[in-house]
Amino acid sequence: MIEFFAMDYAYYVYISFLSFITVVIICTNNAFKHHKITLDRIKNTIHQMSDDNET
Amino acid sequence: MPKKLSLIAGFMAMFRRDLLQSIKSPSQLLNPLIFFIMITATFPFAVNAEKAQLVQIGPGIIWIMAILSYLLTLHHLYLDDAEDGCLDYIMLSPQPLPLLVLAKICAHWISSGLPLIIISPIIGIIYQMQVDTILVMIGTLFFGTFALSLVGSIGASLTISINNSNILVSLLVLPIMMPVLIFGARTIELYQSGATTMPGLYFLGAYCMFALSFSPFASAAALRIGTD
Amino acid sequence: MWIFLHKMASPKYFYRLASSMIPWLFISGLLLMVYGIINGLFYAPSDYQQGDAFRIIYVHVPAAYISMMAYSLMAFAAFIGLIWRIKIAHAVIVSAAPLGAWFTFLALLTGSLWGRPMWGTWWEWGDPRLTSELLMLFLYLGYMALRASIPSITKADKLSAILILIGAINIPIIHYSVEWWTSLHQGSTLLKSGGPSIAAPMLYPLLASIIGLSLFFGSLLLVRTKAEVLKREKHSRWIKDMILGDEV
Repeated sequence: MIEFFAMDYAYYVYISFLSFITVVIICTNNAFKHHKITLDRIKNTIHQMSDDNET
Repeated sequence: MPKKLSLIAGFMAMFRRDLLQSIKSPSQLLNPLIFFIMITATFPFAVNAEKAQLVQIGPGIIWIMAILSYLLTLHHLYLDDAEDGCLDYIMLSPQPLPLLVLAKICAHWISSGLPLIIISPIIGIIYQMQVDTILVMIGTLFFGTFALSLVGSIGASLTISINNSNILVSLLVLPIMMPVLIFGARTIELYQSGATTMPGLYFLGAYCMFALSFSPFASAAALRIGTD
Repeated sequence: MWIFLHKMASPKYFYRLASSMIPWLFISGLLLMVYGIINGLFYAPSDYQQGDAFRIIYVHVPAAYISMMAYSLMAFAAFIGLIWRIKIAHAVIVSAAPLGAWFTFLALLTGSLWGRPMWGTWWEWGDPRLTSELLMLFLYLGYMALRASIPSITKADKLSAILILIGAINIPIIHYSVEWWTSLHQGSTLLKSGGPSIAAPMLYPLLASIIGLSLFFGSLLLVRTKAEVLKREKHSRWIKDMILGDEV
């Protein structure tokens, strides 16, 4: 593994790859969380409405 | 006695109206101009530059300040009419809205752009420009301010339904104005170091033509959507 | 095919289709990206001219490609949304904008990290490709700012669609900037007449990375568009039935 740090310009390459992975993880998290929050909010509203209707 | 409804008549009526309005309120006309003069004139003091440096940075500063002070005037292009309800009447007229928008843009350019162009030689002298360089600068500013009027009207019309939209207009217009800024300032700099001006001026002219071909229609569409 | 496209305009059908497509796109995209990155980072041979710094290509080119493809997608969807008044198109534009902006930023960042060892500079202000890519980031941000400041959804849709279409001129400018002007940035390697001018062991991880990131982007786009559709259609019958039936 240590020989991979000996490649030329190792730091630039690794920081690029790490930033890529970071951005991908941020976007994925963001997208799925956004979807989950929207869905939960709508579920709450609809369940509440249907409970009000039943009572 | 119905008035003539030809396109030219409609254009000239709108053009004359806007021009007269801007003459009657000189503060709207003068404020950006004074802003332009103030900052370009005090820049050399702040930078503490020598003559050779001033010559180098001059074109860029003049161009940037021209654009910034011009962006201040774009705010008024549609908002004044929208606020007192004239815009609704304008949109109801039988003349095609893009034509009236074009008339507004031309009137705006004459009332805001031409003073800038007329003042610029004085600023050019502050930045130690030669007379032929000043002519080149006037040429680039001529096309540049017209292009800025065209593109700025799109930004102004998109943000018509928003309060306090001054900064947003600038943010929207700036990416599209970048080529004009780059070519305008660079043409002057290249001329100062000996190259010809024609390629840059041709590009600026082409950009104006291109903007002229879609900007009135885009602005008219945005106005209709924004105020319905 | 026309029936398929017609059905896609309906939010309910789109939601169902998106839900089934997301796992496929996500996993296939992820696998291809992992293959591309691992191979590119460790197993591709060293470039004789650039040494090992060229490996940044395996993240830079996919990010730049996605930044342009996302904007083209937004422009296309803006066209459809304005002319045919299909609401789903506007939902797609809203969802694609943050993703596109992130990848544009990533392209600029990795490009700058590549430029430092190769050209000796983090940034070059006169360079047409760098400037037009930066402009594209401003276009994305301007779009999001415009949307955020207009309260009415239909008005925001139409006005920001106009903005996207006007900025679409930037895409051919970015693409052809290396041909039209002298630029520090190198020219086309893949889409040249005569085939790609890059060696095969270097090419395959690159293609895998590009295609993988595109599929992955597609899956994230569908996730965000599903959320956007939920937000827009929350008063409609099909959503109520779906949630009360616990289908999600």
